[in-house]
Amino acid sequence: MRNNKHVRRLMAALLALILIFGTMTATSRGREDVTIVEKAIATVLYPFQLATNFVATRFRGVGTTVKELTQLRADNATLRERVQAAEQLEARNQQLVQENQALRNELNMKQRDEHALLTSQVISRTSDNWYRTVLINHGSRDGVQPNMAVVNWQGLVGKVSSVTPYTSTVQLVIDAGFGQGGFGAGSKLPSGDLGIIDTVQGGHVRMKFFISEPTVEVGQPVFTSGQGEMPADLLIGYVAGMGSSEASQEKFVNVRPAVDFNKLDVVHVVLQATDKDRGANAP
Amino acid sequence: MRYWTLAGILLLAFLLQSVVSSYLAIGGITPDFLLVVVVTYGLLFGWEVGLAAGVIGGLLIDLITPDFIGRHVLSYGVVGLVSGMMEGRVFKDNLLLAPVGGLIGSVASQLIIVFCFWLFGREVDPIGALRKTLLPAALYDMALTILVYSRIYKYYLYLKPDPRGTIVIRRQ
Repeated sequence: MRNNKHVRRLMAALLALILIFGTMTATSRGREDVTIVEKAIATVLYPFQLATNFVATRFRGVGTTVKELTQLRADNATLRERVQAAEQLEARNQQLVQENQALRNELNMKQRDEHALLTSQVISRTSDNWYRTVLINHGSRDGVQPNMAVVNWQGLVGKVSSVTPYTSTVQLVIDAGFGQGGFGAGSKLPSGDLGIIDTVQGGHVRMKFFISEPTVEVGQPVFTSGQGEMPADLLIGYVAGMGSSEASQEKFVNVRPAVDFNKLDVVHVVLQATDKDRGANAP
Repeated sequence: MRYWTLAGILLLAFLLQSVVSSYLAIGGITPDFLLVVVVTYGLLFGWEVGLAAGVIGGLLIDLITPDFIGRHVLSYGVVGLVSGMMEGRVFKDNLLLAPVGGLIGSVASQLIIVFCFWLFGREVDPIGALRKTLLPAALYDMALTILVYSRIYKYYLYLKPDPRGTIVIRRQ
């Protein structure tokens, strides 16, 4: 009798394990469609997230004001120096723009169209330490679709991983799943060497190359190449150092992201990727 | 057992986890309210309650976080089950029970999740994950377990009334 009870429990545990691993296997391959249950939960949570964000923003505002006042004096001196440097850079920039325009005309290249951007507010962050995602206040009703690029003034923030009617989840560049599901973010260096962004669990953003001997210098900017899902020429970050995989001896560079992910309040969803973004503009 | 109250606490933990926890992040590490409640339920009310809370809470969290579904069901379920199996072997008013339970539960839960990542081909940097995520999160969860466990234990007799009734001793 006691043995029967044990056998039944063992069978139930085995069945549960099979069910759980079956579900994990079925949902582990690049899921874009959100189920009705997930949509329902996200919709129910939306007002709570908005309310919490409202309260948190007010509290944060008071704290930030006090903190900022104490730093204003030091910042002012630093900014004066930077303004002088910026004026020099501006002059140099204008020179480069003219030179660039001349080269474009010479090569008969078309001027890039501006992307249609949808400005969104970050209303929540991931509640799971193993993921780096944020929730924004626009969803499928506003035209947001999975895999759209998300940027801010600093550079590439991430991509839309799932969409509900009122909200969208943005998978940040520093999330380990960012490069999965095809070439999530093709990347390139100013030298023209192409690769892909591959973020490793633990927060390291890496760029892997298609060639064995890339021309790399520390501090070089890394841009999206336009190959894959992301539009071209979005700043991903800067080369922080080189490394190679122990197993395959494959070379990669560690990339320091351009975006400060601790200060994400407003982001822009790139609503339309043009044909130029899909590889034609890559070097 | 007052199951509706227990379910209400679990739902509240889910709301806190999904809505508030990101605002309580320290150095990018968020507290895991659901795990803490699952560990507490297991230690106080036994493996049936721990397992049920783990599976339901895990499923809810899986449905609001990206990537594959089932990893939290497995990790919370196992933690709820194992902590529940300890229920009859520990003193519930032992001061060390909550922190030790929270620490071991958090480490075990995260190791199971990392195992799931490895199993489904996600690349994991073990040292970075241990240093940046697993250990800080376990310490955070341990501190939170002390708070949550003591709160729920205070109402233990209300949540799980003695079936034989209550003896009231009055001074003459």
